[in-house]
This record gives sequence, structure tokens and C-alpha cells, in this order.
Amino acid sequence: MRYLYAVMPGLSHLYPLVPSVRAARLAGHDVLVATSGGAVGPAAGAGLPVVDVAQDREIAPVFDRLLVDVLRPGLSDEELMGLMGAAFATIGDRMIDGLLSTALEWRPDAVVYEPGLAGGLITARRLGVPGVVHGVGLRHPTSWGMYGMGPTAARLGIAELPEHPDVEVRISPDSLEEHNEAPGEDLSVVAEVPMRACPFNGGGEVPDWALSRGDRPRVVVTMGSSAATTGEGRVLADIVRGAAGLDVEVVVTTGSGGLPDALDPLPKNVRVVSWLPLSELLPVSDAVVHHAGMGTMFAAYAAGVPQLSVPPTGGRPAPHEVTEARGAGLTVQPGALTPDGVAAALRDLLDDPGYAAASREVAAEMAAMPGPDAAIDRLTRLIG
Amino acid sequence: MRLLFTTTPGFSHTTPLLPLAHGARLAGHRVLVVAGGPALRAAADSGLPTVDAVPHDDVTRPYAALAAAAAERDIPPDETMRLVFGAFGEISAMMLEGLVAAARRWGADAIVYTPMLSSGPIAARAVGARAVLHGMGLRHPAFPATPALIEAAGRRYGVDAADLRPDAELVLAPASLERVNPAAPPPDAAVPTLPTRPGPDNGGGRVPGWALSRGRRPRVVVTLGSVPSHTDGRQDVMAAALTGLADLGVEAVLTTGGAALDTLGPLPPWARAVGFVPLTSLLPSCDAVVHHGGMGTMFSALAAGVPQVIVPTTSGDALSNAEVVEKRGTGLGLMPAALSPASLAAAVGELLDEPRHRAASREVAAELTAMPHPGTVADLLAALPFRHRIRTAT
Repeated sequence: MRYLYAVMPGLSHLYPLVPSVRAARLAGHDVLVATSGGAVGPAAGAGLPVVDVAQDREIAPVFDRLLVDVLRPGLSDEELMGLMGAAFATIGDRMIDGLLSTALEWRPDAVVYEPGLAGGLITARRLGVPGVVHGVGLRHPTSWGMYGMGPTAARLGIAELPEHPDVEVRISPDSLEEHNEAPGEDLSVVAEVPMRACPFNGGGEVPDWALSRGDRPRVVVTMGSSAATTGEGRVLADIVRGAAGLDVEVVVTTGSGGLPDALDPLPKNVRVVSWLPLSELLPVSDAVVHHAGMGTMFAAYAAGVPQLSVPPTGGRPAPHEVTEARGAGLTVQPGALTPDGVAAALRDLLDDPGYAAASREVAAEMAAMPGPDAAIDRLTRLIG
Repeated sequence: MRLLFTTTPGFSHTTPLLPLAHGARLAGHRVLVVAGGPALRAAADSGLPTVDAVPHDDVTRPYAALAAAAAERDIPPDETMRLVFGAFGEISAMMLEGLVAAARRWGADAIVYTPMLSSGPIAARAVGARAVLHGMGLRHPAFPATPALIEAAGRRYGVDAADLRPDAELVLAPASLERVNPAAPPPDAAVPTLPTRPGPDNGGGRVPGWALSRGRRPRVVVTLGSVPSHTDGRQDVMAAALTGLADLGVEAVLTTGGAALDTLGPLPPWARAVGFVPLTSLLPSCDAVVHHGGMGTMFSALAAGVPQVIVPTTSGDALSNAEVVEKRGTGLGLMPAALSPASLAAAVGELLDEPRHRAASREVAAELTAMPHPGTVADLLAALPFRHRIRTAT
């Protein structure tokens, strides 16, 4: 089989698909990742063959503008989803021609796409091969990514946009989906292939101390590096101050950004790293504070570690609400965040065994889902 | 299970480990690569977590000394092997302490190591982990530990390094190749062998548009592997290809491996030079490959069912690899002394014209596909008994 993976140019879109691409390759299938912009390097850096399908088109400025737009105060959920849908459609339109020509050259037997890049389904229909939507966390329907693709369809001479893929690869476990208000695909017309999520956020060096647990409980703070997620540094500084007030070891990942000035001098029990593989760090940690990104949340679920969400925006689905409803963590809204509030929430997560127990239940549930190898075999039988 | 992978510094010494490492990870096991130099980059660029076994020294120093000795004078083959054993022994000694420390701290259940790294099984024994020899490709005898390393193993870790036989050996080559492998050591009844599908995996990278499908002419790849200085030093192979293949009506793809190739002059319209393209993505659209005899390239071609010409320009296993390819009928060997545009054209022409080489290559490809999946092998390793008493020396 030849599997073409179509991915939006973002790490949070690329990384959840990497285990599936790997598994397909290990099973002897030919694989190719089609993406663009900032995801091309990381796809190659994940050890995968990749094609840039929008080589000369602007991608990053669209995302940058979106990250500013979504911070406008007083946006309703609908307005927020409208902004995101429009940005995704802009990028989708810039990728679709390259995606189609790559597919016509390479001739895949199926197109696997993540819900953000509905152009994957358009490509599958144009080639007459199965379209497979691949979850990146909680279930999302393709219709969400198809929103705003009308003008693109008109340009391509497509009378009616496709609505449903043939298969949905689901990585989200049942007990989380029970609390997910956003529907996934319509399973009366779409076949479902469950697959264990194998959190991945890149390869690289693990420092000595991260190979094992420390003397004290370890709290990871990973808020990304954009102004949106760190609250222009203010939110990040308050989180670190709050966490460092406890008798714990705090590990802060800063990404491409630095530490805010407000954290100078840095409390003694804080370690700062730009990046670490979360798949290695979380299993030797006791709690994690994050910006409610799906990849980080699923890494925490897989490691059975309770989580404190600090979501920069609203929107649907609201993954932090699912975490709370499942009993696997708490939420602090950035607007109401204080160091004391963070300390109190973390104390709850560390001291009340219910959060760790619920987190471990979800981890066990995920571990019991079919692995990527089995899922790819099943997918191949379904469409082969 | 926690599988610690280790190998000698080198891209091509690391890529053979990647399928098992990824297969184990996807099967739910934990994986850590503890290595040095270019091996760290190769593992990280495949998306794996890494630890530097030699953070305060240059672990590739013994290679440089070896290259300097070879540049100075012509060294007879048996002395070459002595020097190579010495260099890898020194690298093994440099890595021992870091290996043991990381394995202990992380709690490794097994250490998977390659044949040139004699400190692999010592570290396994020092921490009470299973020692698993990864054959990388065709079977070769594991390199012996140097006296200094044996002494250090006993003194520092209480490990008797006189017997470094592993708890299991992973056999990456299919049976039809091993039958004609002149370098294969005799089987050891005390060491269980587990056949393991070898991948292939040549790392990730951008695939250029033209490589997505076949061209109008048969496509021939000429590659001298992943070490730039080697490509640079053997531009005669590329030059022979550019002259010799001109009348074959083919499209030639030369991989530069980062070397400048400027002595070749402007390329003819039927040839193109590319930097790094993952061979696994390039070979499916190709009809023949000419290479230096590296194990990774050889196995990539076999897995893709593409016949090969080996010009064994490297020391080490290139000669025996060429012999195996010839005997199995999957390609031809062309000795560097006999290399000319005409002889290369004759060899490539034969591969393209006579279907038997492609047929044999496809047979081996099918044989490889039928070998056990790396994820399954990881599960088997978890169930292995220990050959050796567990030591808990501190």
C-alpha cells in the first residue's frame, strides 16, 4: 500500500500522526508526508520522507495573525471558530494545488489527513481512493476543517465538497469521549479504527536528571513560547512562582522563547530547559501545567500524570473541560490566575489521590487500545 | 520493557537500529539511545530520545587517528584489521562509563548493541540487563574487547569480560543471504538467535518532486554512502558513471552526501546531483543502484528489489557484501582496480538488460518482508531468559 499523509503546517497537527506513519512504514508500506511551512523540517527531523506542497506560498504569517486575532477580548465561541476556520481555509487553499499534483505523481492507495486539512479528503475524492481522517486528540469532524473551503472548491471546479471520509482513525479513549461535546465523524457512514496514542514531540537529548525521578515531586510547566499561550510572559511567570512556592522540583520548558524578566532571580527549585521529549519527561514527573494543547494533554494522559490547564482561548471542543470532567486535572483561566491560585491547584493535584488515580485509569485505557501496528493492519484490510 | 540502544559513532552504524527502536516504542516499550558523535544526531533526527555517552570528550578521535595512519602509508590488510579493532576498542572504552551510568539511572532491562561495540555487553552485565547483539546486516563476528577494556570491566564493575557472548543475537539478514555470507561466524548453541526484519530506514528528509514517480528513462542511482569525505575521495566512481552511462539511455542520480563534486564539471542533461535524499523514498522509482558496498545501502536496495553494482571502495565489509550480492544473483561486484567507464557501463547494462538480477532482488525483498516484525521481536526480547547471573556491583 502507498499511504499519503496530508498534514497542516503545524507541529500540533504533524506530531500526532507520526506514530501512524512509522507503523505503516514498519509494516512495509510506502509512506509520504505532504505538508508545508514550519512542519517540513520537523517531519524530516522525525525521520520521515516529506514533500513541501506549498513551497513558495506564505504560511507562517497566517498563523502569526491568527495567534494575535484569537486574543481579542470578548470573542464568542462562534467568532473564535470563524477566525480559526478562515485561517485554516487560507492555508488549505495555498496547499491544495501542490497536494493534488503530489498525489497525482505519487499515486497513493489512500490519503490519510488530520481534521484541520480537509484538502486531504478533497484529494482522496479527486484520485478516487479512500480518504482517512486521523485524530490528533479528542475527536473532531472533517466538516470543521472543510469550513471555508467553498471558494477553493469553486476554483477547482468541484460542485460539491465531500462531507465524510471513509474511515476515522480514533486515538481518543472512550472515557474522554463521553465528555467531549464536539462530535466526531458520523459513524453510521464512516468506519472507525481505534489506535493507541503514542505521544511524540520530537527526538533529542534527555539530560541525566530526567532519566529518573528526583528527590521531590516534579512539576512540569510547558506553556509554549507564543505571547498567546504565555500571556506575554505574565501568565508563565505567575505559574512558575506559584509552583516554586511548593516543596517540589519545577521544570519549565520555554520553547523558542526565553524566560520572562519577572522570573529574575529564578527560584532555586526551578530548572529551565528549552525543550525535552515529553514522552520521556512526563513518566518521571508528578503533575504538568500546560496551555491546553491537545498534544501535551494526550502526553499527560498517556503517562498517567494529573494536569493543570491554563487555556489561552475558549472554543470548541474545550479539551480542558474534558480533563476536568474526567477527574484527571483542573483548569485555571489565565485572566483569574495568581501564583497562590496555581499553588493551591497544584497542591490539590499532588495531594488528592483521586486526580492521579483518574489519570492512571485513562493511561491504562489508552494502553489497552490497539497499537499503531495493529491499527494500520486493520486500516489496510478495511481499504485494501 | 526498557530497551537501551547503543552503537559506535556513525550515521550508518545507527540507522540499522532504528526499525527495532521504533517498533519497540510503538509496541509500548520504552526506548533510549545512548551513544556518541554522529550516532546521536542520527537517532535524534529519527525522533528518538538520546543520551550522550561521552559528553566531555570527542568520541570520534580514534577514527581520525585511523584515517591519519591510513593516509600516511599503505597498510597491509591484517594490520588494517588490527588498527580497526584498536580504534573501535578505544571507542568502546570511552563509552563504557557513560553507558553504565545511563543504563543504571534509567533502569534499562536490555542493552541492544552493535558488533563493533565491545562495551555493550559489559555494560549490560554491569547493570544486570539482558545483552542483545544486533547484527546490523549480514552476520559478522563481534569485535573483541581490548585488554584495557577487559581490565576496566573487572576492576570497575566486577564483570568478567572474558566471555562477552550475548543473551540473544538479532539476525537481520535473510537465510538466502546468510547461506552465501563468507564472513558469518559459526552458530553458537548457547546464544538464541531471533530473526528480525531489517527495515530499511535511511533517515528522513525532503523528497524532490521528480523522485515521486518513474522517469521516461531507466533511473540509476550512484551513491557512495553517508560519509562525505568518502564521496569526496572517490570521485573517480562518479566520473566513471558520467562517462560510462552516457550511451545507456538512462537517467543518473548522483548522491553527493554533502561533498562538493566540483572536479566533475558541469553535469550532462541526463544526470542530476542531489544532496541527501532518503534512499527508501528514492529507490522505488529506480532500476539499478551503484554503490560503495555499505551494508545500509545494500539492504536498502535489496528491500526495494532493485539490483545493484557494488564497487567496494571502503575497507571493512564492502568486499564480503559484494561477494554475497554476486553469489545471490542480486547484482554484480566491480573491483576498484577494474573500474573504468566501460566496465561500469557493462555492469549496469547487464543489470538493466538481464531480468534475472531484478528477479533475484525481488525474491530477497519478499524474503525480507516475511521476516518477523521489529515490534514482535521487542515483545520476544521481553520474555528472554538471562544467560548471565545478575550482578549488582556498585
